[in-house]
Amino acid sequence: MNWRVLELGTFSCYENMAIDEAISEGVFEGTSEPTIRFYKWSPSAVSIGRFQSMNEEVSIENCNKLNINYLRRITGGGAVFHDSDGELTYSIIGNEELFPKGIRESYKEICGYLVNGLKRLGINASFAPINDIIVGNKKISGSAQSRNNKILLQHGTILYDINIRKMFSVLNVSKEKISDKMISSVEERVTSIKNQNPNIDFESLYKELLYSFTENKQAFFGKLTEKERIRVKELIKKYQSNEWNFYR
Amino acid sequence: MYKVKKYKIKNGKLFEIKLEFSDKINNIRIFGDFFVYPDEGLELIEKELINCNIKKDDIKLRIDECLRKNNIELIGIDSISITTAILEMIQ
Repeated sequence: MNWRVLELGTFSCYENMAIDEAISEGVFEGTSEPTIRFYKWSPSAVSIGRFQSMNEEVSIENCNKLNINYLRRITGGGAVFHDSDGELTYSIIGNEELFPKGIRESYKEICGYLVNGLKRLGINASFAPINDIIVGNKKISGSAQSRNNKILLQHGTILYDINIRKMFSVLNVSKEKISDKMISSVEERVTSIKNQNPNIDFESLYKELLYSFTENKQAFFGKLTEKERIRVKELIKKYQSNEWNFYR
Repeated sequence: MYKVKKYKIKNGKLFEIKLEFSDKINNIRIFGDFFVYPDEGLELIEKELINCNIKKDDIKLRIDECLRKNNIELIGIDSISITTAILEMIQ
Protein backbone atom coordinates (compact mmCIF):
# COMPACT_ATOMS: atom_id res chain seq x y z
CA MET A 1 0.00 0.00 0.00
CA ASN A 2 1.27 3.42 -0.97
CA TRP A 3 0.69 6.10 1.67
CA ARG A 4 0.39 9.77 0.82
CA VAL A 5 2.05 12.14 3.27
CA LEU A 6 0.91 15.74 3.53
CA GLU A 7 3.71 17.80 4.99
CA LEU A 8 3.25 20.03 8.02
CA GLY A 9 0.88 22.90 7.30
CA THR A 10 -0.90 25.55 9.33
CA PHE A 11 -4.62 26.06 8.86
CA SER A 12 -7.70 27.35 10.63
CA CYS A 13 -9.62 24.78 12.69
CA TYR A 14 -12.35 24.75 10.04
CA GLU A 15 -9.86 23.94 7.28
CA ASN A 16 -8.13 21.30 9.39
CA MET A 17 -11.28 19.35 10.12
CA ALA A 18 -12.60 19.84 6.59
CA ILE A 19 -9.34 18.46 5.15
CA ASP A 20 -9.53 15.36 7.37
CA GLU A 21 -13.13 14.71 6.34
CA ALA A 22 -12.50 15.37 2.63
CA ILE A 23 -9.62 12.89 2.67
CA SER A 24 -11.81 10.30 4.41
CA GLU A 25 -14.42 10.71 1.69
CA GLY A 26 -11.75 10.45 -1.02
CA VAL A 27 -10.36 7.25 0.50
CA PHE A 28 -13.88 5.82 0.73
CA GLU A 29 -14.56 6.67 -2.93
CA GLY A 30 -11.21 5.25 -4.00
CA THR A 31 -9.97 8.58 -5.37
CA SER A 32 -7.47 9.29 -2.56
CA GLU A 33 -4.63 7.24 -1.17
CA PRO A 34 -4.51 6.46 2.54
CA THR A 35 -3.01 9.55 4.08
CA ILE A 36 -0.84 10.74 6.93
CA ARG A 37 -0.79 14.46 7.62
CA PHE A 38 0.69 16.82 10.19
CA TYR A 39 -0.70 20.23 10.99
CA LYS A 40 -0.91 23.24 13.27
CA TRP A 41 -3.81 25.56 14.04
CA SER A 42 -3.98 29.29 13.39
CA PRO A 43 -5.70 31.04 14.98
CA SER A 44 -5.72 28.93 18.13
CA ALA A 45 -8.92 26.97 18.56
CA VAL A 46 -10.99 24.78 20.82
CA SER A 47 -12.40 21.57 19.44
CA ILE A 48 -15.05 19.59 21.25
CA GLY A 49 -15.81 15.90 20.88
CA ARG A 50 -18.65 14.84 18.62
CA PHE A 51 -20.92 13.98 21.55
CA GLN A 52 -20.25 17.03 23.71
CA SER A 53 -22.25 20.22 24.10
CA MET A 54 -20.52 23.40 22.89
CA ASN A 55 -22.28 25.58 25.45
CA GLU A 56 -21.36 23.22 28.27
CA GLU A 57 -17.69 22.89 27.32
CA VAL A 58 -16.59 26.18 25.81
CA SER A 59 -16.62 29.81 26.92
CA ILE A 60 -17.79 31.32 23.65
CA GLU A 61 -17.47 34.82 25.10
CA ASN A 62 -13.78 34.37 25.96
CA CYS A 63 -13.05 32.66 22.65
CA ASN A 64 -14.48 35.66 20.81
CA LYS A 65 -12.51 38.09 22.99
CA LEU A 66 -9.24 36.22 22.42
CA ASN A 67 -9.76 35.49 18.69
CA ILE A 68 -9.92 31.77 19.39
CA ASN A 69 -12.08 29.70 17.04
CA TYR A 70 -14.25 26.81 18.17
CA LEU A 71 -15.80 23.83 16.45
CA ARG A 72 -17.14 20.31 16.86
CA ARG A 73 -14.97 17.44 15.62
CA ILE A 74 -16.37 14.36 13.89
CA THR A 75 -14.45 12.24 16.40
CA GLY A 76 -15.51 11.55 19.97
CA GLY A 77 -13.51 12.35 23.07
CA GLY A 78 -13.14 15.56 25.02
CA ALA A 79 -12.64 19.28 24.49
CA VAL A 80 -9.12 20.26 23.43
CA PHE A 81 -7.46 23.66 23.32
CA HIS A 82 -5.24 23.83 20.23
CA ASP A 83 -2.69 26.52 20.94
CA SER A 84 -1.22 27.80 17.66
CA ASP A 85 2.30 27.52 19.04
CA GLY A 86 1.78 24.77 21.55
CA GLU A 87 1.05 21.58 19.71
CA LEU A 88 1.61 19.36 16.73
CA THR A 89 -1.40 17.47 15.40
CA TYR A 90 -1.46 14.41 13.18
CA SER A 91 -4.12 12.57 11.21
CA ILE A 92 -3.99 9.11 9.74
CA ILE A 93 -6.75 8.06 7.39
CA GLY A 94 -7.23 4.79 5.57
CA ASN A 95 -9.41 1.79 4.99
CA GLU A 96 -10.10 -0.14 8.21
CA GLU A 97 -8.34 -3.17 6.73
CA LEU A 98 -5.01 -1.35 7.01
CA PHE A 99 -5.32 -1.30 10.81
CA PRO A 100 -6.06 -3.81 13.56
CA LYS A 101 -9.78 -4.60 13.60
CA GLY A 102 -10.46 -3.74 17.23
CA ILE A 103 -10.80 -0.11 18.25
CA ARG A 104 -8.48 -0.50 21.23
CA GLU A 105 -5.85 -2.39 19.21
CA SER A 106 -5.87 0.21 16.46
CA TYR A 107 -5.37 3.01 19.00
CA LYS A 108 -2.44 1.04 20.38
CA GLU A 109 -0.83 0.60 16.97
CA ILE A 110 -1.19 4.22 15.86
CA CYS A 111 -0.25 5.66 19.24
CA GLY A 112 2.76 3.33 19.03
CA TYR A 113 4.13 5.48 16.20
CA LEU A 114 4.05 8.47 18.53
CA VAL A 115 5.63 6.53 21.38
CA ASN A 116 8.47 5.40 19.11
CA GLY A 117 9.05 8.93 17.83
CA LEU A 118 9.10 10.38 21.32
CA LYS A 119 11.48 7.66 22.51
CA ARG A 120 13.90 8.51 19.73
CA LEU A 121 13.83 12.08 21.02
CA GLY A 122 14.87 10.72 24.43
CA ILE A 123 11.41 11.04 25.99
CA ASN A 124 10.36 7.91 27.84
CA ALA A 125 6.77 7.84 26.62
CA SER A 126 4.32 4.97 26.88
CA PHE A 127 0.84 4.15 25.62
CA ALA A 128 -1.94 4.55 28.21
CA PRO A 129 -5.11 2.86 26.95
CA ILE A 130 -7.50 3.75 25.53
CA ASN A 131 -6.13 6.72 23.66
CA ASP A 132 -3.45 8.57 25.61
CA ILE A 133 0.32 8.73 25.71
CA ILE A 134 2.00 9.45 28.99
CA VAL A 135 5.44 10.25 30.30
CA GLY A 136 5.70 8.95 33.84
CA ASN A 137 2.13 9.52 34.95
CA LYS A 138 1.61 12.71 32.94
CA LYS A 139 -0.33 12.96 29.69
CA ILE A 140 1.59 14.32 26.69
CA SER A 141 -0.72 13.26 23.86
CA GLY A 142 -4.37 12.39 23.27
CA SER A 143 -6.03 10.92 20.19
CA ALA A 144 -9.53 10.36 18.87
CA GLN A 145 -10.73 7.97 16.24
CA SER A 146 -13.76 7.80 14.00
CA ARG A 147 -14.88 4.91 11.82
CA ASN A 148 -17.39 5.53 9.09
CA ASN A 149 -18.03 3.62 5.87
CA LYS A 150 -15.15 1.29 6.79
CA ILE A 151 -12.75 4.24 6.82
CA LEU A 152 -10.66 4.85 9.91
CA LEU A 153 -9.72 8.42 10.74
CA GLN A 154 -7.58 9.04 13.79
CA HIS A 155 -6.23 12.40 14.77
CA GLY A 156 -4.38 13.46 17.86
CA THR A 157 -2.25 16.12 19.42
CA ILE A 158 1.21 16.15 20.92
CA LEU A 159 1.68 18.88 23.48
CA TYR A 160 4.76 20.89 22.59
CA ASP A 161 4.28 23.72 25.09
CA ILE A 162 1.39 24.39 27.47
CA ASN A 163 -0.35 27.59 28.47
CA ILE A 164 -2.71 26.26 31.13
CA ARG A 165 -4.13 29.64 32.14
CA LYS A 166 -5.11 30.39 28.53
CA MET A 167 -6.54 26.91 28.16
CA PHE A 168 -8.79 27.38 31.18
CA SER A 169 -9.93 30.77 29.98
CA VAL A 170 -11.63 29.24 26.95
CA LEU A 171 -12.85 25.97 28.43
CA ASN A 172 -15.91 26.25 30.63
CA VAL A 173 -14.41 26.01 34.06
CA SER A 174 -15.77 28.41 36.64
CA LYS A 175 -13.50 31.29 37.67
CA GLU A 176 -13.44 29.98 41.24
CA LYS A 177 -11.99 26.75 40.00
CA ILE A 178 -9.19 28.42 38.02
CA SER A 179 -7.20 28.70 41.17
CA ASP A 180 -3.47 28.25 41.53
CA LYS A 181 -4.27 24.93 43.17
CA MET A 182 -6.15 23.74 40.12
CA ILE A 183 -3.40 24.88 37.77
CA SER A 184 -0.86 23.03 39.88
CA SER A 185 -3.09 20.00 39.78
CA VAL A 186 -3.19 20.07 35.97
CA GLU A 187 0.57 20.61 35.86
CA GLU A 188 0.87 17.42 37.87
CA ARG A 189 -1.17 15.50 35.31
CA VAL A 190 -0.03 17.00 32.00
CA THR A 191 3.38 17.53 30.45
CA SER A 192 4.81 18.76 27.16
CA ILE A 193 7.86 18.28 24.98
CA LYS A 194 9.27 21.56 26.33
CA ASN A 195 8.73 20.38 29.91
CA GLN A 196 10.55 17.18 29.15
CA ASN A 197 13.44 18.71 27.25
CA PRO A 198 13.56 22.43 26.42
CA ASN A 199 16.24 21.75 23.79
CA ILE A 200 13.91 19.84 21.48
CA ASP A 201 12.71 22.23 18.78
CA PHE A 202 9.44 21.89 16.94
CA GLU A 203 11.08 20.86 13.67
CA SER A 204 12.89 17.94 15.36
CA LEU A 205 9.62 16.75 16.88
CA TYR A 206 7.92 16.89 13.48
CA LYS A 207 10.75 15.08 11.68
CA GLU A 208 10.83 12.26 14.24
CA LEU A 209 7.09 11.73 14.07
CA LEU A 210 7.15 11.87 10.28
CA TYR A 211 9.76 9.13 10.37
CA SER A 212 7.92 6.94 12.86
CA PHE A 213 4.56 7.21 11.06
CA THR A 214 6.11 6.23 7.71
CA GLU A 215 8.65 3.66 8.96
CA ASN A 216 8.04 0.30 7.21
CA LYS A 217 5.49 1.87 4.85
CA GLN A 218 5.72 2.82 1.20
CA ALA A 219 5.07 6.54 1.34
CA PHE A 220 5.36 9.61 -0.86
CA PHE A 221 4.93 13.33 -0.29
CA GLY A 222 1.74 14.47 -1.95
CA LYS A 223 -0.83 17.22 -2.09
CA LEU A 224 -4.60 17.34 -1.84
CA THR A 225 -6.33 16.31 -5.04
CA GLU A 226 -8.47 18.82 -6.95
CA LYS A 227 -11.55 16.89 -5.84
CA GLU A 228 -10.47 17.09 -2.19
CA ARG A 229 -9.79 20.82 -2.47
CA ILE A 230 -13.28 21.46 -3.81
CA ARG A 231 -14.78 19.31 -1.04
CA VAL A 232 -12.71 21.11 1.62
CA LYS A 233 -14.27 24.41 0.59
CA GLU A 234 -17.74 22.91 1.00
CA LEU A 235 -16.95 21.23 4.31
CA ILE A 236 -15.48 24.42 5.80
CA LYS A 237 -19.01 25.83 5.72
CA LYS A 238 -20.25 22.86 7.74
CA TYR A 239 -17.56 23.31 10.39
CA GLN A 240 -18.28 27.05 10.62
CA SER A 241 -22.02 26.51 10.98
CA ASN A 242 -23.98 26.77 14.20
CA GLU A 243 -26.10 23.92 12.92
CA TRP A 244 -23.13 21.55 13.26
CA ASN A 245 -21.28 23.14 16.16
CA PHE A 246 -24.32 23.51 18.39
CA TYR A 247 -26.34 20.48 17.30
CA ARG A 248 -25.98 19.00 20.79
CA MET B 1 -41.10 16.61 33.06
CA TYR B 2 -37.59 17.71 32.04
CA LYS B 3 -34.42 16.93 33.98
CA VAL B 4 -30.67 17.19 33.44
CA LYS B 5 -28.19 15.05 35.31
CA LYS B 6 -24.45 14.53 35.28
CA TYR B 7 -23.41 10.96 36.02
CA LYS B 8 -19.91 9.73 36.81
CA ILE B 9 -19.08 6.15 35.93
CA LYS B 10 -17.04 4.50 38.67
CA ASN B 11 -13.38 4.85 37.63
CA GLY B 12 -14.63 6.15 34.29
CA LYS B 13 -15.97 9.09 32.37
CA LEU B 14 -18.47 11.78 33.28
CA PHE B 15 -21.52 12.07 31.07
CA GLU B 16 -24.69 14.11 31.08
CA ILE B 17 -28.27 13.21 30.24
CA LYS B 18 -31.08 15.57 29.31
CA LEU B 19 -34.35 13.73 29.72
CA GLU B 20 -37.95 14.57 28.93
CA PHE B 21 -40.31 12.03 30.39
CA SER B 22 -43.80 11.19 31.60
CA ASP B 23 -44.51 7.53 32.31
CA LYS B 24 -42.24 6.90 29.31
CA ILE B 25 -39.15 8.52 27.85
CA ASN B 26 -40.31 11.31 25.55
CA ASN B 27 -36.88 12.54 24.50
CA ILE B 28 -33.28 11.92 25.57
CA ARG B 29 -29.89 13.42 24.76
CA ILE B 30 -26.64 11.96 26.07
CA PHE B 31 -23.50 14.13 26.18
CA GLY B 32 -19.89 13.45 27.08
CA ASP B 33 -16.32 12.70 26.04
CA PHE B 34 -16.94 9.02 25.36
CA PHE B 35 -16.55 7.26 22.00
CA VAL B 36 -19.25 5.57 19.93
CA TYR B 37 -18.51 3.42 16.87
CA PRO B 38 -19.86 3.93 14.30
CA ASP B 39 -20.31 7.68 14.80
CA GLU B 40 -24.07 7.74 14.28
CA GLY B 41 -24.55 5.06 16.97
CA LEU B 42 -25.45 7.49 19.73
CA GLU B 43 -28.32 9.00 17.76
CA LEU B 44 -29.60 5.47 17.11
CA ILE B 45 -29.56 4.68 20.84
CA GLU B 46 -31.31 7.94 21.70
CA LYS B 47 -33.97 7.25 19.06
CA GLU B 48 -34.44 3.70 20.30
CA LEU B 49 -35.14 4.94 23.83
CA ILE B 50 -38.03 7.20 22.84
CA ASN B 51 -41.34 5.78 24.15
CA CYS B 52 -39.46 3.29 26.31
CA ASN B 53 -41.00 2.45 29.69
CA ILE B 54 -38.93 3.83 32.53
CA LYS B 55 -38.06 0.43 33.93
CA LYS B 56 -34.58 -0.91 34.38
CA ASP B 57 -34.97 -4.04 32.23
CA ASP B 58 -36.81 -2.23 29.44
CA ILE B 59 -34.22 0.53 29.15
CA LYS B 60 -31.19 -1.74 29.28
CA LEU B 61 -32.73 -4.23 26.88
CA ARG B 62 -33.52 -1.54 24.33
CA ILE B 63 -29.96 -0.18 24.49
CA ASP B 64 -28.35 -3.62 24.29
CA GLU B 65 -30.60 -4.60 21.41
CA CYS B 66 -29.71 -1.40 19.57
CA LEU B 67 -25.98 -2.05 20.13
CA ARG B 68 -26.31 -5.60 18.84
CA LYS B 69 -28.54 -4.79 15.87
CA ASN B 70 -26.32 -1.95 14.63
CA ASN B 71 -22.93 -3.36 15.63
CA ILE B 72 -22.31 -0.37 17.88
CA GLU B 73 -19.32 -0.30 20.20
CA LEU B 74 -19.27 2.06 23.18
CA ILE B 75 -16.02 3.13 24.85
CA GLY B 76 -16.14 5.12 28.08
CA ILE B 77 -19.87 4.60 28.60
CA ASP B 78 -22.12 1.53 28.69
CA SER B 79 -25.75 0.45 28.78
CA ILE B 80 -25.73 -0.13 32.55
CA SER B 81 -24.49 3.41 33.29
CA ILE B 82 -27.04 4.99 30.96
CA THR B 83 -29.83 2.91 32.52
CA THR B 84 -28.75 3.73 36.06
CA ALA B 85 -28.48 7.45 35.29
CA ILE B 86 -32.00 7.52 33.80
CA LEU B 87 -33.49 5.66 36.79
CA GLU B 88 -31.79 8.01 39.24
CA MET B 89 -33.18 10.99 37.35
CA ILE B 90 -36.81 9.98 37.75
CA GLN B 91 -36.58 9.36 41.48
